[in-house]
Amino acid sequence: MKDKLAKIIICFILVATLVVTLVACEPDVEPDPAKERKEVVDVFTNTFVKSLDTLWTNVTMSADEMANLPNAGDYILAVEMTKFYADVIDKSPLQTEKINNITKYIASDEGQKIFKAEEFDGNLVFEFMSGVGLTATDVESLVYGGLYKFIESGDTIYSNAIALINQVKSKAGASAQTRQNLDEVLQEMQVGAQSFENAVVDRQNTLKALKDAESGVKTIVSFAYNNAMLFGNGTNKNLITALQTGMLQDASQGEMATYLSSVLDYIEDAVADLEGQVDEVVDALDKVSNIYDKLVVGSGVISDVFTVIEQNKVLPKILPALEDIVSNARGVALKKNGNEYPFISGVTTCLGEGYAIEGDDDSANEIVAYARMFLALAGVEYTATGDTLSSQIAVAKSLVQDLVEVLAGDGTRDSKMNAISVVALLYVDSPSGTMIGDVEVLRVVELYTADLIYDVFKKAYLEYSVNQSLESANAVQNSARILMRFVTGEEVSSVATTFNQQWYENICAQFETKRASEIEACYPSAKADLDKRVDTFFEDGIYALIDIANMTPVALDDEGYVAFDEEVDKLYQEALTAILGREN
Amino acid sequence: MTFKLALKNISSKPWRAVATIFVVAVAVSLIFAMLSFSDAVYDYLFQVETAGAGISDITIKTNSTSDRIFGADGIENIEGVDTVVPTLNLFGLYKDDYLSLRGFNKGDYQKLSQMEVVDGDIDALDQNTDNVVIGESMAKAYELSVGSSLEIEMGERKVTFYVVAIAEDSGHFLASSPYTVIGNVKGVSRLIFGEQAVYNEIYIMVKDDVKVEDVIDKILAVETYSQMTVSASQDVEYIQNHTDSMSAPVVIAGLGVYVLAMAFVVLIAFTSLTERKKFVAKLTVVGATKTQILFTFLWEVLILAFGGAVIGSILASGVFALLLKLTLSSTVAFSVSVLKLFLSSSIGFITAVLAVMIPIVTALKSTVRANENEKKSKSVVAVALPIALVLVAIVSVIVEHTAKGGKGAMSMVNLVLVLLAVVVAVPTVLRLVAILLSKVQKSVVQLSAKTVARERRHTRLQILTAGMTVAMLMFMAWSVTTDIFTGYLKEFEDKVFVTNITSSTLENGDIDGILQMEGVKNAIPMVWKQGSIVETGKSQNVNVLGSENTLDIVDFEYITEENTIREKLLENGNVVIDKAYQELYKINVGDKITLDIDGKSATLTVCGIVSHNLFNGNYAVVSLGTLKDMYGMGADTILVVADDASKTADAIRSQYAERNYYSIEALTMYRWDAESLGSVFDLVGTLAFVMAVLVYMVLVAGAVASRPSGEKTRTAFLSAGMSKNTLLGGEVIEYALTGFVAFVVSFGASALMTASLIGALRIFGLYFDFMYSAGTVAIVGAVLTVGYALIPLLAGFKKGYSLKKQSTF
Repeated sequence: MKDKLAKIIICFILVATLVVTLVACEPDVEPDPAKERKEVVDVFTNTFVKSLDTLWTNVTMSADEMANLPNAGDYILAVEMTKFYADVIDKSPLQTEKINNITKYIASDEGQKIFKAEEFDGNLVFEFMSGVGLTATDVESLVYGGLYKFIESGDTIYSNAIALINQVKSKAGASAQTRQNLDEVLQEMQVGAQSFENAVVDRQNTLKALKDAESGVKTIVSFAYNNAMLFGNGTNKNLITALQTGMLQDASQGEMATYLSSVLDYIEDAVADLEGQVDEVVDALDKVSNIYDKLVVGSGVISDVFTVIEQNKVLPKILPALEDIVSNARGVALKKNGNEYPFISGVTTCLGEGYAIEGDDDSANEIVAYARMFLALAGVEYTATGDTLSSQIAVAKSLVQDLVEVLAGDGTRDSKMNAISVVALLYVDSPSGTMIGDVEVLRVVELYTADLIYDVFKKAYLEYSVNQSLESANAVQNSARILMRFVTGEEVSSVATTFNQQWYENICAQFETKRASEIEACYPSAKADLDKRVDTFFEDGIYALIDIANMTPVALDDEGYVAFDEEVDKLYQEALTAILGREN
Repeated sequence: MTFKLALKNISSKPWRAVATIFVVAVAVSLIFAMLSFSDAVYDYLFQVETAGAGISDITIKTNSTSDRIFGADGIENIEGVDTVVPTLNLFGLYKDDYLSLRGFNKGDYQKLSQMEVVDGDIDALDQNTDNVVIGESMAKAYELSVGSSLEIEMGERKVTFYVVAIAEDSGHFLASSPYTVIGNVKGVSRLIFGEQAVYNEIYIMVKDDVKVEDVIDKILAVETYSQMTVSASQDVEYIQNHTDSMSAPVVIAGLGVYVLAMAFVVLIAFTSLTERKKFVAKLTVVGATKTQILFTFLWEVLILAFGGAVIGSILASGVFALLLKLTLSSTVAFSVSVLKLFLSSSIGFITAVLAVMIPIVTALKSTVRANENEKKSKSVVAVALPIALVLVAIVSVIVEHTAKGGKGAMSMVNLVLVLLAVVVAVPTVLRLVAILLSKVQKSVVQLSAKTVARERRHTRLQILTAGMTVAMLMFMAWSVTTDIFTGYLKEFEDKVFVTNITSSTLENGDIDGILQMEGVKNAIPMVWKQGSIVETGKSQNVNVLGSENTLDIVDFEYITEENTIREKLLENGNVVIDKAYQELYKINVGDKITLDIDGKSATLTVCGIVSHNLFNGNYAVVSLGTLKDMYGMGADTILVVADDASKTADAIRSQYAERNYYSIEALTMYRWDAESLGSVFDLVGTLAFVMAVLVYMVLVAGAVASRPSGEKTRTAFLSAGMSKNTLLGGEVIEYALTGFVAFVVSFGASALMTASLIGALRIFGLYFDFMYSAGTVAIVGAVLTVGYALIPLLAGFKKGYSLKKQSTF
């Protein structure tokens, strides 16, 4: 009996020891952030692709499965592009949970509504960014990361897609519709690959330039993003909505001043961040711009990334001048007399309750408000008189002249075109034979128009390369005719019947040569005219604007508007004449 | 030799030694706890009150007379300013609960207080504007970890933040209502608009050797900040006042328990006094000198007291931690002061030595013969002392209650005097009662009464009376304070505070909107702030109830005629105070008082006196007009009275989510205070109960231990033919008689001591009307009396009745 008991006890002890040992040996399950991130990114990739088409069940469909898709080519392209984005996101500092949240948002009804909109335009991009809760830091990282990665290895998108398309094409089961789609995308990829090869000729130097200017490039991107969020259209009217709804509803003048000041801080912060690296940033953005100039990319994120850079490449140069203007404007816009902010009071009184700039665009009060805002931006108090006013106008003139010099006087092609574009726009409806200095108006306007058409031509040719439709062929034909008329000076009835890369490059070369010579011919007169207009405005036009700004806002009628006032109209026309240099 | 004898003495009575050491240890621990409690409360309250402001000296905040946001440009140029930490503090909703989101500029996160990271990386705050740090409690409450996201709502805006680190619940994260989230100002500002740096609070550290008040004046002189609340970050006065109110009951209860612990030491010494006297006699017989005898006992008590002091010192931290956990919060950190520990051990040690040695020294003065026969002649001093003590106590009590300013310190003295007088006088009372009862015809009663009347030693009676009096007092204190506290809380039950209101709140119809909500009875804008009155001897913290409409919301008792108060309060420069101020500081109607609020000072005239237990009477009612005109101050709170405070708080929270209001039940706002005070009062009740039980146990032990001394008499009775039951009945009557006398005397004494206790609380700035719960006192007294009377039955005295012992006589 004792033995039996002893055995039971020993067995119990052994089992207990084993259990304890097993429990003790079980490793602590420490989360592996890298593994977790990879899983989250994989889910993102899968969700993203699936959300584009109901037939696309996952991101890893086999060649046989793809062969059964009517839009197999689109699928392959989507997968390659999504993998590219996913890799950018993975290597970005975006928090893993944020990637998870982006995935959830894409899958949500709200996200799908934006995602599957027929035109995924700029407004929707911002709505999407806002919806997923991207910060300026996220956007700058993603744009920079996307740009860098595309230049570094964008060609693999094309080569991978081409290889996969060929693999699927070889499958017997592919339908005619599938094959047609595969061929279309294959051509698009081949064009893309070719253009990439042509455009990214100095990859290492471009990447190095980007790396050296990383912080500055990011500053430009976040500045552009913040501005877009503040002043952008669509759902992100922060500038207005912040003061109409939420915590700051019925904002006081002081609160508006604080808000306005924090908006102006953007420029000063950006200038501070860029200090000491403007040249590097300009160099990097120029290199990127040169690539974009020759690159054939369709609409989509890559295109958006390049567009952001293209549209804001001038910022590093003009930000310091803008900062001077803003700094000067701050003194007027945020000036305080006792508890009153005259500028804010002056503008809000004109715009009425809610500060909404909507309804009757021609209301006299709004014109008065705009005049007051413009003057404040120039650093001129509309209530100032005598020496104070003269002094303020002199400072404003000097700052604007500096800005004009930065924008149109640094000797670069873009700078010269800026001067020519502004002048062309001012003279666009002038009678034939009107002279701008030594140059006839028509020559300047034609140069400006041709420059615009050149971009249209390049885009049309891209469309044609990808999809040789009659519509795209006509677009290429028409734009090429205009360009050749600019080059030859004669009407061109037809340029070609079929277009190829060699023809395209030939047209581009001819246009660029002609444009260069025309710029040299027109720029001195255009620049001189521009300078003269600045002088004229600050000697004459600004006073008309001051007169408008000093008009007493009229009380709103029953419907909330003020009928256009003749007196205001007269002054408005005078101001316009002074600004434009001619009758409106 | 004497040392060995002492050791032998200790080892021969191990339980007595253990009991002595234990009691001394408990006393030392309690002394330490009492000495440290106030400091710990102060430190804790300091941390709570400065959780937001950290180490800053000055805080600038928006209020209803200022803008809701502002910039921080130029403030660093003000003379005396050293460091500026601007922040944006918004109340967002997370899972329908408020969170306080505090946005700092890059690099400022730890300038106010350090964050002790338990997980994650604080530096990651700089990597993105939507990264945040949260506290451990919040992480636990919402099951969040590093990497988790929080979607915060403010009106229609929903913004997601990401947890990059979890920190200890200290500094920023000490408060749990609401929990605090630390992030970047540009991230937090997304709840209002874009990623912009705007602020609604600025914290300032001033340069060394610069007066905070001077810098405050300079800041207020800058127009941008002139309408804002600019105040010292640390309201030391408020914290000290708050500490005093929290500490007073615990310190007084603790003192009671300490006195009792020492009484136990004395009791233990007394219970063995007979035996010790015999021991002294034996040592004397064998030729020991008085010095040798004295040293033998001294060694013994030194060893025991030292042991108790050492063990008490070891236990002190634990006892103190337990006390804090029971009363305040387990998160209260404290450090052990070596000085206080030494002081506590010394007091415990010395008191114990004296308590034991005094009776022994007395015994040594007697002759050997006297010791052996336990007889002692009554000296004149022994007769005169009780009479003198009773007379002094009577005079002192009369002076306390009649003389101006008699209450306070004198009340504290009387607490001790009355107790001593009662203890000294109660044997005489018993003897008189016994003599009266000895005339009763019933033989058992007569016999018991005569026995009691002959009794020369009344130690147990004295302990019973002292214990009963203190137990009655403590039970009554517990009952009364709990009643007051319950009434106090009841006043808050139907109230909701909506704070963080702005100038637009008063203009945009939100108050009307709240009034129209279902179940809302009233909603008034008011100033709800801390202020201080200087006419109170020292600067006394006061709760400012800043609206004339307070009179409609709080059910005051009007000492001054109500209509007069209502009329006068509307006149600028007037103030209404509680009766407590009249009683404590002799401030009367017509007197001028200087009321400081947020660093601004004004002289106001007392236009009326009311009474209410709100804040223990520590409040002042001022009209909004007075606050605006004399302090430039607008309403900062909407006080809402509703049928269902919780439902209304939620409804306001939801309806006005985008306004950045902080809508919370009044009870929740004062939850910590309520829970802590409730715990403190419960602790008093628990101590009262434990003390009553201990008193009873000691009495039982004493009764059993002293049985041998009456054995000869009992044997004689039995030999004379008395039955055991009759003898037992006699003993029960004897005990009942003793208990009854103790009860009657304690009842009266407890009433006097209650008056003195209430008077003594004035030292802590607390005023209460005389309250006496006779029912509670009677129950406590009756239970102890009955329990005492039943000791002969419960302790099985009957079993010890024997005739055999006769032979040893």
